[in-house]
Amino acid sequence: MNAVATLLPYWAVASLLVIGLYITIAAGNLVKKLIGLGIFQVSVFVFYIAIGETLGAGPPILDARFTRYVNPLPSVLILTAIVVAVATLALGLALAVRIREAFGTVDEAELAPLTDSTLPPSPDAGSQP
Amino acid sequence: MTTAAILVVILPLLTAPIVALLPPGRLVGTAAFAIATATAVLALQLLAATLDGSVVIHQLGGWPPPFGIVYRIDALSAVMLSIVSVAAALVAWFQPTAIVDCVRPTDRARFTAAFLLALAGLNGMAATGDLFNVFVFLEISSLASYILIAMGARQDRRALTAAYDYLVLGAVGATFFVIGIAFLYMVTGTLNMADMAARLPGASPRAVEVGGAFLLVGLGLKVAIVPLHRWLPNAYAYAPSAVSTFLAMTATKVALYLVIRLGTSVFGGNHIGGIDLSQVLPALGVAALLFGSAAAIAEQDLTRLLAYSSVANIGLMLIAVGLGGADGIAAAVANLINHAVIKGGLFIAAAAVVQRFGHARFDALAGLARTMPLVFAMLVLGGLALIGVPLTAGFVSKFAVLEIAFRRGEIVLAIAILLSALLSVVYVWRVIEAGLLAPAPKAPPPPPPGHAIFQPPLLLLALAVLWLGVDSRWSLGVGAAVARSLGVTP
Repeated sequence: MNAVATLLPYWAVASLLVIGLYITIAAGNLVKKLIGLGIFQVSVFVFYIAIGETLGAGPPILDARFTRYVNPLPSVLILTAIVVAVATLALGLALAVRIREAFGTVDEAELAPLTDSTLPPSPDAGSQP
Repeated sequence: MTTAAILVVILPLLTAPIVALLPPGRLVGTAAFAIATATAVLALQLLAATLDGSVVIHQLGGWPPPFGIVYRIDALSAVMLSIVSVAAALVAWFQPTAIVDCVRPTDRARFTAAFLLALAGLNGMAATGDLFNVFVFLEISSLASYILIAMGARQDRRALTAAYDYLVLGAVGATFFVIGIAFLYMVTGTLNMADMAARLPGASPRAVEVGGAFLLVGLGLKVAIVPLHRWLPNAYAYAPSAVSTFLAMTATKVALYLVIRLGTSVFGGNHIGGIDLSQVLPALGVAALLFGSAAAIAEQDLTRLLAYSSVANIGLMLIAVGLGGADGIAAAVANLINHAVIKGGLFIAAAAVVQRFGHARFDALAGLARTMPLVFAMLVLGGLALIGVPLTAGFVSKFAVLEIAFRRGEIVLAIAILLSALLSVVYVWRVIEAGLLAPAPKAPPPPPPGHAIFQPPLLLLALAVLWLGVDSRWSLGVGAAVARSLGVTP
């Protein structure tokens, strides 16, 4: 029982990781790709928190009730990574909006013929002054 | 000197928000050039101080390692800092003119701020001695690059999809990198690279193997190792020309620096986790060399051609890193330096073409030898250097790898390098043919105002290509000093 409880977070991490990565690669909609990317990154957040967690341990403060403490460093680290993930997601969504404005679609299959590298350059009408 | 170790990072980092608030006008470009030049001077000072094997260490907040974050500049870090900062200074010089057509006047201050953030991020990756700090700076430089690439949309809307693709792949790569860090932290309990190197031998080998694999794949996306290169050609082709120049000179190289750093200083013995770089990287390098050179031949656009040639050149550097040993590392560093100089010159030439004709497809190159002689001369010289013709920088670095391959009996590698040189003759000839033999247009558009600004960096890099081709002290000599300071056994 204890072994299952200890490994449970890691099973969750592995599942979220492959689900997220699969959506990122397989989804045709640019916004859905970013949702997949979000799930993928959340799996890493859980992973870091799970590394620091110790079953039956207390918070890392001086207290007579606890003799074992949770490692705070992974949580602090992942706070940074969460900020980075939020910024990446915001920028990705902003780009998706701009792509919708410039091409009229956020579907990869419809974008492919419009973004072919042999086409002559076409300025983005939306960004003209 | 220890202050310089942190100034190369925080000078562009802290001045970026100030530059973003400056009023539109000439001041923005001048400020960016001054900041980038100051950073370059600091980086070159660090290089001069570390080439003898000494190490400059700055403890952030006075906390000693491994409790605090340290910035640790050895010769390898200093070489990377110098490449990135000098590239930034060159690009900042012509950047205000080059972005006139693609960035609105009101956006230029913020564009320049993003450029400085990219510089800070890339320098941070090279300077820091803390593995998680590397990830943070990787993301700073990446986020700034995505923005800079997307700014090409006013010239070509495909810049938006190029930036999006790079964002998704870059985020996946960076997340793989951070997963790898987690595995190593699990078994070593430290993030300081030197401390980690000391604790890794006693760590659980399974976790180290998995962590190393995640690190290498994550970095592979950033280095654009074939088949993880899909983001690179579009990102370089549709970005504003100043941005593609800067990224081509720096971005993939800093990621490759991390591969070298992990393989020598952290894991050691040319391994990353359980992966033997001397078995993996040469194979990947051969694939990149042949694929990149062949793909460049089919391109109809100068920037895309140069981008695929970069994919091929990354392959050459991977072979050098994979061969390993003191001479392999020296050859890899020489390739990093020489390729930055050659590709810098070629991309600035392409930027000058884009500035005048609005694009760099081959029909714009027609008659370039007469309409823009200096730019065409740089294209020819850089092209010869890409092939590896003697008396150019490309000869020194390509010959160094070739010589090691022959000496160690790696005939397949040697044949692949020679074959890619043959393929590069074809794509370089296509550029020369278009510029020299195709008739010039009857009425070429006149040079836009301020076009002469491209000339100083072009001349400087052209001279550097020739100088590095004759005097190998600044490429192979520096590389040998780096290998010595890393303590790589021959």
